[in-house]
Amino acid sequence: MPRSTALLTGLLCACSFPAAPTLLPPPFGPDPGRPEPARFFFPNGIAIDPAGWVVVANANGNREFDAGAAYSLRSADLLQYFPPGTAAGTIPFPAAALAGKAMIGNYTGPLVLAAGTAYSASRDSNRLNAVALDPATGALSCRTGAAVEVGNEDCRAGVIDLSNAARVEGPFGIAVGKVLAPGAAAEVDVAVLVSSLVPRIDQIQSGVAFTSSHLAALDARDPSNVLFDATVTDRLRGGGVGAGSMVYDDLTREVILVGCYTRFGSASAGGEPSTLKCASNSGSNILRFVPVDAGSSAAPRLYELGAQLRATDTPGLALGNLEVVTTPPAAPRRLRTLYVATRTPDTIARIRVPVDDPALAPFADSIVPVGSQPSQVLRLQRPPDRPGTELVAVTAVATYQTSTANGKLILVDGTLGQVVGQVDGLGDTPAQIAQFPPQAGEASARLAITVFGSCRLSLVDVPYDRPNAASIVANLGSCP
Amino acid sequence: VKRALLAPLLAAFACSSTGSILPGGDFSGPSGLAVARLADRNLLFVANEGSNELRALMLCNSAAGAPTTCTPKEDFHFLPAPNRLFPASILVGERPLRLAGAPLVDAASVPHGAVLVAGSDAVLRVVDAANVLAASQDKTVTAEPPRVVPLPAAPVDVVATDVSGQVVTAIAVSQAPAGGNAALTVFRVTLDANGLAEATRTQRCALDFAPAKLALVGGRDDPQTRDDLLGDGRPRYVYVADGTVTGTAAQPIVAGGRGDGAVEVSVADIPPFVDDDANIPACGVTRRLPASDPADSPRRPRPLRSIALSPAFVATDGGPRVAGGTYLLGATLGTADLCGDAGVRACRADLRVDAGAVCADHGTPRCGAGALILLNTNVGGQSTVARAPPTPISASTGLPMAPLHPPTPAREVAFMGRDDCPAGQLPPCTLLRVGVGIASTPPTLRVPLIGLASTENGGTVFVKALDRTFFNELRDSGVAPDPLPSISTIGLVPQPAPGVPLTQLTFPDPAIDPNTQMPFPSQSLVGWMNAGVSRDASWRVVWHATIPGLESVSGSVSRTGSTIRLVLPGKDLNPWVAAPGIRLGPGDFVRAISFAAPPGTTLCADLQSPATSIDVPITAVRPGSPGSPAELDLQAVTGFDPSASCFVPGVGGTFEVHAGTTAAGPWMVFEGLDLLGRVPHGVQFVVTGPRFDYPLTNYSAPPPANDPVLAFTISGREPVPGQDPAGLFLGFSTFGGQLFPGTSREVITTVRDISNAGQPGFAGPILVYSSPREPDPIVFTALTGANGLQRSRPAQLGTADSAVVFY
Repeated sequence: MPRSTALLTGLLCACSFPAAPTLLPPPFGPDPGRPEPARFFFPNGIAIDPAGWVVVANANGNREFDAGAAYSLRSADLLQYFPPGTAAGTIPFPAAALAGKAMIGNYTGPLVLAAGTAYSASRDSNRLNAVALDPATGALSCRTGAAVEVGNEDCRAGVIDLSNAARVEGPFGIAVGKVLAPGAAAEVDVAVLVSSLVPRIDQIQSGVAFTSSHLAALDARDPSNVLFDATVTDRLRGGGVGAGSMVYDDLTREVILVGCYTRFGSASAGGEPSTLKCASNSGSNILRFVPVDAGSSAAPRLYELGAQLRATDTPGLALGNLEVVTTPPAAPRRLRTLYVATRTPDTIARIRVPVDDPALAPFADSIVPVGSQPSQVLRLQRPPDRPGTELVAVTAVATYQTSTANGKLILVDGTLGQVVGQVDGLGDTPAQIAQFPPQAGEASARLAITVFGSCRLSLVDVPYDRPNAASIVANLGSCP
Repeated sequence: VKRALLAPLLAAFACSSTGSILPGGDFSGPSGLAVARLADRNLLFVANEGSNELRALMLCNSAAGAPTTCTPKEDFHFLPAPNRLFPASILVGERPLRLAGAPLVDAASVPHGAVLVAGSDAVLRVVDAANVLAASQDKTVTAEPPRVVPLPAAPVDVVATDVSGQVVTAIAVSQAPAGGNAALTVFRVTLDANGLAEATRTQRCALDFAPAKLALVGGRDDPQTRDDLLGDGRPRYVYVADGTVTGTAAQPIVAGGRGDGAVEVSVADIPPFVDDDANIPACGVTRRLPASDPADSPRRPRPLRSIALSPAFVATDGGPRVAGGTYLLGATLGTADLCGDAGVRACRADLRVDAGAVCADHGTPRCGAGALILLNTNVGGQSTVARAPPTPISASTGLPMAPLHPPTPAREVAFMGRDDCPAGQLPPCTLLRVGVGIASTPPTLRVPLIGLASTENGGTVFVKALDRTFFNELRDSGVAPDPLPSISTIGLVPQPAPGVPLTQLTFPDPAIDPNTQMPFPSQSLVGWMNAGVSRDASWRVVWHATIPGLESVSGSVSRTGSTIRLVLPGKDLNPWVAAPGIRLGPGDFVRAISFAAPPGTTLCADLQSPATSIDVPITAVRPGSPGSPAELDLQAVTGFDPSASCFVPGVGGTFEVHAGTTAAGPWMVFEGLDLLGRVPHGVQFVVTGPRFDYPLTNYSAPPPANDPVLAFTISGREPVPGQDPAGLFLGFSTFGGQLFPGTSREVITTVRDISNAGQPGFAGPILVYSSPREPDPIVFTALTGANGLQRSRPAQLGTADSAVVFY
């Protein structure tokens, strides 16, 4: 066969081969004709809607499928496992509780619910996933701008490319806040705020990448509408590192960010820039405050807490209470409390932010080593008839050799600065925590925790008055 | 076993050769430490709180040269698991945190130690160390699960007497359950019929505060020499650190009361145990040992996170034996009333400051957490905070000492001291070698009593307890005289053009007492710096600085005549107006960052590219109140004088707010991240602060607990708006004498792994250990944050194998 004929034949053969099959996530696929039942696969983000729905984002962390999936589960069906009664142990995925499902992007991080829509960003595609939750039925449908495509469950395209529209790459941190644009008569009272974990490369000089990180604010009425994007760090401020967790403080109308990620040229990636956590011995731990009302002109306020925390990696952040310190004859002064989880050393730290004297920088006033690798932090809400000290729940893993299977929940009395409880046996890499809305008369906080590596949702009961008696009441789902 | 030799580990210039081995995973949040004595070896148990287990190191205990079955290959190695490949893992429930060793002996007086475990569930566990060792050595022996004894709530701490016997007394303290009280439970630890250790509850009582730590008086394993024991071997007293940091209306925190210091509980008077958790009787005979003093001004309660009681010691050859428990060393918890306790305030009347001077206090770091306080327990009387030097420590009157602050906050404390010296040594015979890497011949100091504190940076610092100061590598090795604070060279940024006079800082000379012609003690150094008060810090004195928190303020803008009004509906400016260190007001200025047009419109040309370097004076500040937004009135100036037509409704602007040349002053003084205050050019600025050490060898009188840190006046050429850039600053550092200048290495004597492996720090419990084989005490420190265990021999620091970290 002449060489040219052979080449042509080869090309034709190649062209005639079908493309790699699309493997849709359960319960849409992998084979749409014979879909697998719903199950958790790398569940990460979770939020609970007061109307009675638990929304979970499956991050598809091993790319087994071509997309992730969001599920909505009926809260009442999950609440049945909480005391009184005995622990249910590990039980199959609660298919009967599944009310809604939608395909979303991969590598989703934390999830928030804002004005009836669940948001979580995909780090690989830089897209924001937005899935509307029907409060009556729990059905999930795609958002497209201001509209909801009722019945459309293929939301893989997301609602906006945050990299192109708002300079946010590797979006991860997410929060809901309010934004009053300069000169505007009325505020956008539900804004979705998203920050970049992956620093954006602004310039490369002599092989050195100069980077920046950004914050985007989107209008929840139309999440494809960028209200503004602001620079959080750049080469002159904060070294251009990316952030992990973030919260919105309604008192000061600021976004607060922690975490440290850098970008650099990588030989192992063929010269493509890679992203890594900052070196653990860098001695740097920057707490970032971004005033949202200044919009894209916001000048971030950065505080270096490395000397106090002795850690660079801060994976978890939660907003604590506003404590009023009264020491006559001095005027009462308010201290905003933040709780952070740090790695290397593994600690839970309480940070105070003086509100009434802006001259003073934030400082860590209590640091509790925890011996396990902490991750996400949630301040527990108490029902009005259960006042007490501030309880903080922290997911963690006790890594032995290389195993990450010993997940646990650590309970910290934030007021006392002491660990007051621990729940072992959570499984492989517990991730995000959500609390069912507390009701008057309840003696316990009821938590749902995504367990990333164990393909499940764990339900944990935390007695407000006896947090050391906290326990797992059910593990829902397991890996195939 | 992986271990890093830490040669020479003392914070010395030369200590760059730390053997750095990454954590090998044998420890996971090591915290509690305890020794269980056995026949040929002792077992040092380490609570691995992260992995719910204990690990044990074997310590051969027979005197050097004596026959023993404990081999050198076993000494200081982990007790192996039966498969010999891994260290033994002794499972003891959730999050074991505190341990106590019970020195039991069997009927034949053979040591048969046990270890008591306090974790996060409401029980006390008893681990039979002899059984654990036997199971490790002999596969036919079954490792018995720990015995479990219920407690009314999760335990906080557990202690046991250190005098061996067939009965050992242990005491645990448990948290307060909701609506209840914390409780002390006394145990009788014995061997059961099967020869396994068990604990039986014998007494119990309730405490009305939040316990943080327990301590007993320690000493020789010889009842005849002990004065801290009852006739039946129980401890006479147990001491409970009061860690109450928040009060209630019904149970407030008060200086001298709840939340202040420690409480001594008479063990003999604890009621007999009744198994009724709902009705625990109060501890009958107690005595509070406040960590604050009536002479403190102001007196504030000091809750404690850790305490230790001094062992018996002899201070001088032929001198009297000082009874065990004479002194209590405590590490403080932070308290909210010390948080943010800094800023401008009235100048101290006895300081001879210039007229019009601005005084500011830089406050107590970290809300007072991790300071060290020393108490005279004065058993049977009223305890006192140790007096400040030169008053003798045993005195009950005089100025109380200020808490000592290590370079990073203290976590746990312990003592070293003894009343029986090894053969050939005379009292005092507690040894510490200092000056390693500094002195040509590092001396070994003989000291009556040494306090120890583990610190957040992973170090163990040494306190010369009777002198109320930290050991100092330079001073105590004779290399240098008393440490005095100093100031670096001062940099002006940016440098002025050639020929332009410099802006400078002028530091006041010592203030001379006209009566004595001698300097006033608090103002005897240039800049009025004070040893033990002036600390390591970096300073910036910034002209026309951006005001912290007002880096970008946004709102709507309008114009009436020459006044441009910025309305800030989302901002409460009251804190900036009221803060004495800021005093935002007319005369300060803004710089425009950007403007925004209302939707559907465009900005006028004047606002499209505003000049961002023009100073726009603030003429009025209305800070805002409920229902009334904050407003700034701005004065249009050349360079920023947009046409009135630009300000259509809905135009917004973002501005950066700067300190201007007002009565408050154009200069802002920053110490680290904190803004201490504003000061006019040519006006003296005096910084005061709390004392952190008494480092001088001689004091003529007790120095105040709060003294000048630094004083200066900004002199020379005053910058000129329009000519000099806003943000021009003078920068310098002060060195207080705890660190070597320019490094993070301590001048005060410290043992610390300065390699990367040790960087996570957060040292935890300390255990002082000795045996016939180790007559000079060994100090074990759990490195909770760094997942390591540090072993040091204070008497031999700088010699081979004198400091090791196990990872």
